[in-house]
Amino acid sequence: MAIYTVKLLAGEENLANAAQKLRVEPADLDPDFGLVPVAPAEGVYAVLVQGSASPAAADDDTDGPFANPSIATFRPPES
Amino acid sequence: MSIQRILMLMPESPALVESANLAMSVEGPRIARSEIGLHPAIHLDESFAATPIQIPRERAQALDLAIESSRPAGFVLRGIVEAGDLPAVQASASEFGYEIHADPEIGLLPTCTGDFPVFTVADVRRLLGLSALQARGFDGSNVALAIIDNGINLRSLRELGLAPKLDPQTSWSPLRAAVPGAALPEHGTMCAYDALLAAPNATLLDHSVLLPTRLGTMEMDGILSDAMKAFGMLLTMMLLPDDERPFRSLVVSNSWALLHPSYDFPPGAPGRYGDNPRHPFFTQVTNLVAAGADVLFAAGNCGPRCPDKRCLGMIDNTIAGANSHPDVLTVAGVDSTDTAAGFSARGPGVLFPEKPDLAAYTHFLGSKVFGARADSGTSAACAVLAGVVAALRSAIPFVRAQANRSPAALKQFLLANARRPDGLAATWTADIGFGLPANLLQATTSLA
Repeated sequence: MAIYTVKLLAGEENLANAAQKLRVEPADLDPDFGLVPVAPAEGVYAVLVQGSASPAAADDDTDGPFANPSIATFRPPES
Repeated sequence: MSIQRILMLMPESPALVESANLAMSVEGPRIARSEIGLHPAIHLDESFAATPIQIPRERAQALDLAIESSRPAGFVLRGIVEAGDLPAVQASASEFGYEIHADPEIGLLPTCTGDFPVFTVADVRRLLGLSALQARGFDGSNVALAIIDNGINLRSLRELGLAPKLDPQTSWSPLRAAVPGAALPEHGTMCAYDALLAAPNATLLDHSVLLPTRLGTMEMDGILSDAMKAFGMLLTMMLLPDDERPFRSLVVSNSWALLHPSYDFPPGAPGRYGDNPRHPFFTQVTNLVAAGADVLFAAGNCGPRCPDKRCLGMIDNTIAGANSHPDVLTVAGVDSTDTAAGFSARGPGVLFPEKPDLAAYTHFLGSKVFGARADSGTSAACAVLAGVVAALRSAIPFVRAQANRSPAALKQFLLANARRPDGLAATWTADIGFGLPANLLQATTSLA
């Protein structure tokens, strides 16, 4: 799944509106991830989009795809 | 013009014997240049007494020592010459019966992978001056300390003598079955323990996002979006008015990273993470700090002298992504002698050059979650410094309306007051940033 951002108006922050902005089906967005605030004062939220979906090209209200790479703890180093 | 440090091996003379006897004297020159014949280009270190390097022949024979005794007794002096004068100095030395040898700079071997811990939490407490801090109430009270890691085991912390507090309501994991505070004792527990050294009364938030779930393939993997989810929850909490937040202050400790650029989008792709300030996680970190959270990231374990094997040999440009965000405190690791650990990643950072910002202690016998092995890596250093920041916040809590209580002001205080082992104030270097935290008690007046 790739990360996208959407800009939503106050009071309209829900996955259905995010899907509409991205021009994908609501089911293409990860409901467990939901809408994650990125810059909430500007109405910017992150969503996770299924790999099979094809969101619209980035515009004023949407951006992505962004990398969602594997991360790991810095365990005690090993040689 | 370069300078060459040299040692001069001189044959025994009354002046050198007399100088050797002055080795323990407190003041004054211990050798007089006028009493020995040296090439004029040599700048003699007159504070360095002549040092015998051979046992006198009679003494060796009396002790029946099996040493070569055909050479006369000799003494060493030291000095410097300009590199261009070295050939002439060496020729002169041969003519006048003494020898010139290199006197290279030396250093302690870096703390490396597999080394046994050589200091303990008692040493960490002493080195950071925690007794004085805690006596003044710098103990983490009323501060939330989020450990973004692979989970905390409260029982282990209690068995180590701590009385940890944890808020399950503001903890989170992508695994719905995960119980905050009940993870296997592992890396996250080590970080919690190390953070509580300075802030024993802080309230832990257990954000165990680094679990072997979803797309991860390596042990203890996570994916960045899980960290984003955790940061989103913390951001929402910090945007509440001061009197509605469950905690006045929030410190966020992150001992994790994108371990290798091969996990990222290809170079040049617009949505990359490691070197892209437009990535939404970067924006989210900006906003979390602006909302009042003190955010710390470990520098990483790809230091040039003994990098972690998971660095796959990469030692340059390894402080990337949010670990190199200009608003966070990026933490290097030092041992008890204030020497950068061999595994501690060097700057500059990929997104902001002056990374790491500060250094803190690592590689000490602490939580013992890895048996007799040290609490090690920059993970431990980051957690130790997160505890120091939480301790400060208990005395100078974040207040939105006061600019001098902002995370930026606190960071500036820590950088400006940092202590450098080399004594060079306000200087950044790639190994330890601006140095180690110091003058912490002054925070109450500087940030009041």
